[in-house]
Amino acid sequence: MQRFTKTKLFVVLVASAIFGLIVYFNPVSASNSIRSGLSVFTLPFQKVFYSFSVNVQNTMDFLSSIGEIKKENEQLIREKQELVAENASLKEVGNENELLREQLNLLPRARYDLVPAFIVSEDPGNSGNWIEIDRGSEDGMTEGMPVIVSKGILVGKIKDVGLKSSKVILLTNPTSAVNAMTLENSSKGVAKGEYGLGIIFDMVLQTDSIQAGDNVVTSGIGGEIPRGLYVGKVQEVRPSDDHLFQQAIVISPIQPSKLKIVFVVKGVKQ
Amino acid sequence: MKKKLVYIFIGLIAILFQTSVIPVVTETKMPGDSVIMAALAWSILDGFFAFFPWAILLGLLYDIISYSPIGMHVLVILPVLYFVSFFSRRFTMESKGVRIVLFIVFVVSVTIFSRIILFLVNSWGNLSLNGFWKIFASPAGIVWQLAHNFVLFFFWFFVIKKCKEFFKIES
Repeated sequence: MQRFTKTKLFVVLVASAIFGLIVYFNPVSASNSIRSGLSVFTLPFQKVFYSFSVNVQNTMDFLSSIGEIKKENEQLIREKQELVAENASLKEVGNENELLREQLNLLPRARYDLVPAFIVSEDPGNSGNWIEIDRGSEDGMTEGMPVIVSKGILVGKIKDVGLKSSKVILLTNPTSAVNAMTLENSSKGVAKGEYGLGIIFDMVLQTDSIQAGDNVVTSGIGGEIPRGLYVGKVQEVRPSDDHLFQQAIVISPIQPSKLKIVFVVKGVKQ
Repeated sequence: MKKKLVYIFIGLIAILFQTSVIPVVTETKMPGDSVIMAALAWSILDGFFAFFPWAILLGLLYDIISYSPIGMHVLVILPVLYFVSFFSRRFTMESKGVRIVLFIVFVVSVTIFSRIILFLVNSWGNLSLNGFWKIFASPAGIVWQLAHNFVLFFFWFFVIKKCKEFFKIES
């Protein structure tokens, strides 16, 4: 017996049992404290590494697409001319939109209190589950704050907050669930993540109208995420597994792995 | 002291590489795992008892920085270390060709084993196997991860070996 306790197998079995129990009990608060302390040293390096990687990836994308750039350029010139004409008529629509937003009590986007944040790392398994940003509790970040890009495209929401950094779970994360609706018919449902493979717009009533091409935005139900943040476009509609609801596959216009900067919606400006 | 500083530095670089570089430049789901390949290379170079405490430290640091459940990657790295230790004598006795074959066997075994452990832990956490099977078990995914892991393994084997020679670190 004494000989066995000195063997490699015994050492590995004991260590594996201990760490197996730790995985089972998952002491989140202890790990968050250690992570906050460690991030003071690792964050500057993560920023540099991540920024460099995004630049390399963009360069690789550019080099691989040189042949298509000329064709795309000609198409863009044509589209620009069409858009100039469309812009003129949309100004009128924009005025009407402002009036309607006031009437429906929607938040104008310019009134969001936004905090810019650099992305410093992401899910190492590349499963589209989460990203880490360089804003933490000392910047006023709290769990549940939505994270957007551009003029209101929802990326995800903050899940774990450290002193100097926070983890943002993406819309494609299986634990992500956001109340959403379609712009065209206000059909309500829940946008859930599917292991980095995409977003499923689920629990849409059978009586509601939804079709490919519809735009999905946040509905604001629950109050955690403001209404009107863009989620994506419906690609395909199908019945849910239990046939009680409709489901739609939604494609987001952004690829989080190509982003460098995101914005945290801290609140609404008064 | 020199050994501790060099080892911690290499470990942190492997982790930062895995969290901030590899997921960005490779667009495949389940890319190679730099940390586990570094641990494999280290196990071969240092041996079981010499690398054992570092294996635990590396796994814990990786879990903390990558927001994984604490201990998850330790559960992957320790069996890797044990598995490699069975063949430690063969590295000194066998020819270079046999060593390369052994390395290939290690990389393949460790890749599949790590996928199984990570699959089980993540499924436990999410209480669902649905969807994970598409990523974790797709043949194309496994092949891509193996290809990445071969490159990463030989890279870390070379780097760690050269660092040990340069800094005159004994196992």
